Amino acid sequence: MDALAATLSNFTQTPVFGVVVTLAAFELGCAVQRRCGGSPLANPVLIAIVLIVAGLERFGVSYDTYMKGGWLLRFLLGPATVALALPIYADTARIRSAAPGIMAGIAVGATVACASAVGIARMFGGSHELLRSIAPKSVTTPIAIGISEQLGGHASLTAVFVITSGIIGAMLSGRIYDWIGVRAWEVRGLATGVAAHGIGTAQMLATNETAGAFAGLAIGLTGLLTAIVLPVFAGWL
Amino acid sequence: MLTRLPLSGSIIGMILLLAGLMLRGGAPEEFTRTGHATLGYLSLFFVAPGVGVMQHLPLLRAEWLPILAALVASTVLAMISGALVMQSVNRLVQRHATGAAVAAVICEER
Repeated sequence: MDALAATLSNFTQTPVFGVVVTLAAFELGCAVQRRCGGSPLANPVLIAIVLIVAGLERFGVSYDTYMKGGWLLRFLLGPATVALALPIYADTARIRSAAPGIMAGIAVGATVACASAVGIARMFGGSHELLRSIAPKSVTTPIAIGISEQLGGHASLTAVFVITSGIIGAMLSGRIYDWIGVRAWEVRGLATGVAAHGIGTAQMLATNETAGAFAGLAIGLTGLLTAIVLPVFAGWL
Repeated sequence: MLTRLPLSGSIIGMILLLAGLMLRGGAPEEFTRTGHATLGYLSLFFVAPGVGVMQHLPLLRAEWLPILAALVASTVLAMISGALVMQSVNRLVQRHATGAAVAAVICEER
C-alpha cells in the first residue's frame, strides 16, 4: 500500500501527470456536455477546472506540481490563437463589407465590458487590487496579463477573471442573442469575441464558421484597443 | 510607444499569418487542416491557466460577491451592447447603400 502511494506521488511529479489529468477532465467535461444535448450551460472548461481543483485539493497536490505538465497545454494557446487567422482570412470579404459595424461594436462592447466590471466591483466594495486585476477581464489571456501587470494588478488573478468571463460568455451568449433578437452570425460572433475572447470563440466555432471568424477577429481588435486605451485611465482605478 | 504595448506574441502572430495569407492568396490544404484541428481544441488550452483559481481561493472567498456580480453583469452587458451597436450600424450602412443604389437606378432611368 505504501509502495502504491509512493508510486502515485512520484507520478504526480512528472509532466505526464498534468497533461493526463487535464485531458481526462476535459474529455469528461465534453462527455457531460454531449449527455446534456450539447447545451452551452454544461461548459467543458468549467467542468474540467472544477474537477481538477477538487482533485488536487483532495489529494494535497500543489498548483505548481500540476503545472509541470499543465504549462504544456497552456503553451498551445499561443499557436491556437495564431491559427484564428485562418477563419478570419476565409471570411475577409464579409468582414470588409461589415467594417463600420465591426469597429463600432468593438469600441462600445470593449468599453462597456471594462467600465461595467470596474464600476460594479467598486459598487460592491471591491479592493483596489481587485479593481486593477478585473479591468482587463474581457481581453484574451496573454494580453490581459500584460495589461494587468502594467496597471499594477495581480496577473494570475486576472487570468482567472478572464477565464471566468469566457465561461460565462460561452454559457449565456446564445440565449442572450435570441432574447434581444440578434440573429446574424456575424453579429453574434463579434459580440461574443468582444465579451468572452477565446472560450466564447470556441463555442462560436462549434456553432457556425462565420460566427467563429468574427469572434476571432474581435479577440484581436479588442486586445489591441484595450491595450492602448486602458493604461491611459489607470489613474481612476 | 509600440514596444510598450502589452501585445502578446500570439496576437502579433495572428496578424502576421493573416497578412501572409492575404499576400499569398491562400494556404496549403495541409496547413489549413492542421490549423482547424488546433482550433477545435481551443477551449482545452484554457483549462490549465483556469486551475490557477486554486491559488486565489482565500481572496475569492473574501470578495466573491463583487467578483461574481462584476464578471457576470459586465460579460452580459458587453455582449448585449456590442451586438446591438453592430446590428444597428450594419442596418444604417445597408439602408444608406440601398438608398444610394436606388437613387443611382432612378437617375439612370431618367
